[in-house]
Amino acid sequence: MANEMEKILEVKDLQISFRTQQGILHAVRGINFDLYKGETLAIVGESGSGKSVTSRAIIGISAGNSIHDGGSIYYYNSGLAKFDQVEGADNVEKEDVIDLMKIDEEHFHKLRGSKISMIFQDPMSSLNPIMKVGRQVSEALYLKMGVTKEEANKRALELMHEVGIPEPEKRFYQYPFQYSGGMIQRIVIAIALANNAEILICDEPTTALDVTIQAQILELINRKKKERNLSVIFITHDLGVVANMADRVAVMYAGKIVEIGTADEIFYDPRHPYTWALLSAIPDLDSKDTLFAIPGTPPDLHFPPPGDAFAPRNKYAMQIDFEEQPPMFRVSDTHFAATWLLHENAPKVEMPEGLKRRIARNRVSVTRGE
Amino acid sequence: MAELNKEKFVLVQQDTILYDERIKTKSIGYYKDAWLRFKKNKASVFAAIILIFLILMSVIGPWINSGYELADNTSGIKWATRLKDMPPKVEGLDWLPFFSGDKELTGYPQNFSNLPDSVNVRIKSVNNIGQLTVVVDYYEYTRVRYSALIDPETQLFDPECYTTLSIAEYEAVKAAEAEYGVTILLEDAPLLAGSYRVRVDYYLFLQYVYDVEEVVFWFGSDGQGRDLFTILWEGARISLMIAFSVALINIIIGIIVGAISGYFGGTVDLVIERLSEVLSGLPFLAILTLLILRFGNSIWIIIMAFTMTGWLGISALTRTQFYRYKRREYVLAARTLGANDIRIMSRHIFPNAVGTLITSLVLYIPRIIFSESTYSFLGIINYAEATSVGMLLSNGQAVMKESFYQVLFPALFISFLMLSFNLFGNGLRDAFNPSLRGVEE
Amino acid sequence: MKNYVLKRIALIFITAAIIIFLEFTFMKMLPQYHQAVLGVDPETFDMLYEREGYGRPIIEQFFIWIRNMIQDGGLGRSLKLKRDIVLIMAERIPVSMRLNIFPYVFSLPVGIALGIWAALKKNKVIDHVISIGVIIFISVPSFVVGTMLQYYMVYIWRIFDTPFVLADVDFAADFWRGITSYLMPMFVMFLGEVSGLTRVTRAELTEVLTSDFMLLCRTKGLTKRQATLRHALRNGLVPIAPAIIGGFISILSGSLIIEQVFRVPGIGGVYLEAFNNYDYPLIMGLLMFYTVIGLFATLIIDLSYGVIDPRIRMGAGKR
Repeated sequence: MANEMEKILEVKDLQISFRTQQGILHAVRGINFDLYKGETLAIVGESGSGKSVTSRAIIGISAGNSIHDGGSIYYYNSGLAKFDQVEGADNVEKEDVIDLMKIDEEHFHKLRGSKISMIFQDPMSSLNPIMKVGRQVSEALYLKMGVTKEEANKRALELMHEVGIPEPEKRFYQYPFQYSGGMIQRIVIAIALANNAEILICDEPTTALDVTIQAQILELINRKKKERNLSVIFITHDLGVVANMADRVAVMYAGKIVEIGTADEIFYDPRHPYTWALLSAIPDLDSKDTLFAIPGTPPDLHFPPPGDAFAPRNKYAMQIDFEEQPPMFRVSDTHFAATWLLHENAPKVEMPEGLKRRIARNRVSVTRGE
Repeated sequence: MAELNKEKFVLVQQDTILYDERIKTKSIGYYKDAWLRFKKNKASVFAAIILIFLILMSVIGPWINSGYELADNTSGIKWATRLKDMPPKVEGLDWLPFFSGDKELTGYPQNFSNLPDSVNVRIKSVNNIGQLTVVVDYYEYTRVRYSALIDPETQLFDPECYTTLSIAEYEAVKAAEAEYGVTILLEDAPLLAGSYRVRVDYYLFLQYVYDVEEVVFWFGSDGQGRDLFTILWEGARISLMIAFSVALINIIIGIIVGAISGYFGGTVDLVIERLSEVLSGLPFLAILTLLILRFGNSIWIIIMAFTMTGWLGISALTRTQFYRYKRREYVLAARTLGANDIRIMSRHIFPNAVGTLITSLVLYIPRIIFSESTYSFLGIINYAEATSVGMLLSNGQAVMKESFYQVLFPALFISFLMLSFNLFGNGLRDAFNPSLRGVEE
Repeated sequence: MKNYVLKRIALIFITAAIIIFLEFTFMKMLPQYHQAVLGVDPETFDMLYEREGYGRPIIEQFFIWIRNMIQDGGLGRSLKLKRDIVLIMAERIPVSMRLNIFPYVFSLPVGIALGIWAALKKNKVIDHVISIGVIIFISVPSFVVGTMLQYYMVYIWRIFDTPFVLADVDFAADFWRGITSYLMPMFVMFLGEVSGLTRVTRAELTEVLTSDFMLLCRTKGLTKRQATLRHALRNGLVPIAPAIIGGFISILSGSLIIEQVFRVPGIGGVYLEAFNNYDYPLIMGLLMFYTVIGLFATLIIDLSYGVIDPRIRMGAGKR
């Protein structure tokens, strides 16, 4: 199935660190993944796993003290080459590929909004509090698309309607403080889609909202994705949200991807102990087991560990986990996990009992069509 | 990939209970953390050092050169005025033109021609009416002037050389001559109408009769012959004392009022807010001048003037802080555990505000000093006990052409004090509240 | 919004009344007041006694005073200067205004521009230079700066020939000299105002530049320039607008310090003279003037907040 889909982004051995007061923080330590057109890739991980850093690198808003240690982010068929001659374009004539890490700020703004868009976590601080909402939506249109102000306003109204704002004509002239959190997030989505971007990055967009609104926003994103054939990168720490949204899932820990696969593969056949731990930690009404909590805390990435970063917290760690970093082992064409447990020499270890039971239970309910 | 040792593939911690990793870094408290951050700010540390120096000097300064107490002695005062407007002189540094005790004088050539070599007359320029501008060793010049100056017209001793001694002073001179074998009297005279009009070596006279060890003014002398070094630090002492007292009082009042207002909210808050609004409309100038007109000019009145409305700012700040923190869960928790209001206010909410309060305290003090020196410069504030630094500067402005040092030293003092306080305060604020500084971009 | 305006005006009015009443009462309580004002001459004594309402409760005296003021159309009569106070003020206020206006007008663009520059180039060399300048001129009081400037300009570098302002000079005859004598005090005021403005502008703009919605502007695709001009500057300058407006009002009142250092015959100097001469009516009149100006400035500032901040303008919205 992957062969039929068109690759739109390819992250290759990306390494990013930060200059901090305590030294160099190695936030992203060599990650690889692809994004295909029309799919939702969820990136899951704890705080500090590097998921936000990655997404910001894609859209080019990395912090001022970030250092690009290595790797690339290739963007296929962006059409940027058509704008003007751009440094970093591998081969302008033959193939339309650009390396996002090499594009300078002057050119990057052409991509933002019109090719790659992003929505953030806290809606209340996402908008300019003293500018009318409608203007903030139409702004990108007439500044970048070259349409007239009237056209832009009209289009903005349409967008507002599209994302489900009631009475958009009235709301157009209001200020953000007159909106609720959920409505602002809809506006943010409208802004993100205004210039018909093809990649949408969502950085925990529903964490700050309550559950009912959360569902609405997620549903809106899904709808837009289908309508416009968007490629969505969805960053979250909430596996429940992932289950609703994702086609594929990448699990990140301490700056590396530890497991990547389709949603089914990750949820029903997880291979990395960290993924097991994450899945076990979801509260489950039906289980009688005690609630599982992962002991310990993620490592301080000022001092990146030599082996598997998860080893100290890993019940199934082996001696080699403390010494060498595991490579990605292939589980299927679409499913990979970076754990020594998949090595031929490793003892046969299965996922914890409780998790097995839970997965079995869920599988049953799915087949029952619930 | 190198051949991996099969032995490595052994589960090592399957059955152990995994604990949280021991935190590698030592935990540091809020204040220690702030102190470390503060130390990194070189400018603030430097400012703090200067501040400590200035405060120290204001305490011990007046004692250092206490050899000179002429101006305080009732009978000595009239002699002190002869030593007025003398330029600064520091023995060790007199190779520096500033501290050499030299002064510029302007006059007709004959005024300077008959001066002895020790006065070291150097001609600087001539102006268009034939007057010379010269540079002299002013200390020597003064001594000669009051001991042995020859009037150019008459070629006799200038009337200024003569000193009218009281009987007590005359006897003291004689006694000192006898005891120490020094010649103080240069020209004796008989008792006439209860006093002796004699010519003395002026500096020796001062030394032996009035215990002036040496006529040397490190910062020069002012218009009344007082040692600028001493009165500067005395004035500094008063200014700093007032500033700290006012700050302390206003902080206490401000915190209490702000805490009550912020914590209880509702009508209490409303009433206090209205009162504060009215009080803040009172111009400080009005308060200060009216109080002085009514009660005169003493330190307590000044302190009272500053504390009438000075606490308003702090109370507003505290109030905001209390508002912000009183809704937090731990306050609710404390209350459900039975803590009474005072306990909650002091043990739970207040510590959060301390950082901000310390910063505003430190930045508040320079504002007080600023006000105080401004009003003493204008002459509105005028202590009986000492001359405020602002007033010193104002006095200096009148004679700044010839005696610039009388402006320079007070100016330097105020400038350094204010700068150091502000830099120090900024450093504190950054140390306690790193988020305010913004990301290092 | 209308409610807000009316509420503020009413409050300010009441506050002003209370404060002036307090000042009035306090002055009357000064021991030397009665002799000074009523005088020793028994004839006038009785007349004034009646007129000012002595012997009646203080509140009544206050209203009588106000009534007298309105009837006579003035603020009373100065004791030492033997003139109507309003005339004195009419003579001296324009002098102060002439002095204040230029530094104010020039300090606005310079101060804001420097603040913007420093904020945009945060932590680079130019930011540090500007910040150092700001902190120096904010810390060192203006009378120190003024006096040092006088010394160097007049006595050392001999650029000017007098440290003081020539207010009486005949402008037609000696225009250049008259103008240049004002340069020093204006420059000192200019420095002070610029540093204050720069500091606030830099702080506000920095805060805006690091806020979340600026990030969204960038991800929208706006260039840094567009984002800065359209969003950051607007949001950053909004908080300082009220202060600027307030500064405009205070052009009316003279700076006591500058007028003292440079011997400017403005309204500030009058107060000092009155104070030193125990000229009570003059003091009272001037205090009232200063109080009213101060509160008026506060009122304008509050009202401008109402205009600028949409939350207040719309009555705190629906939510």
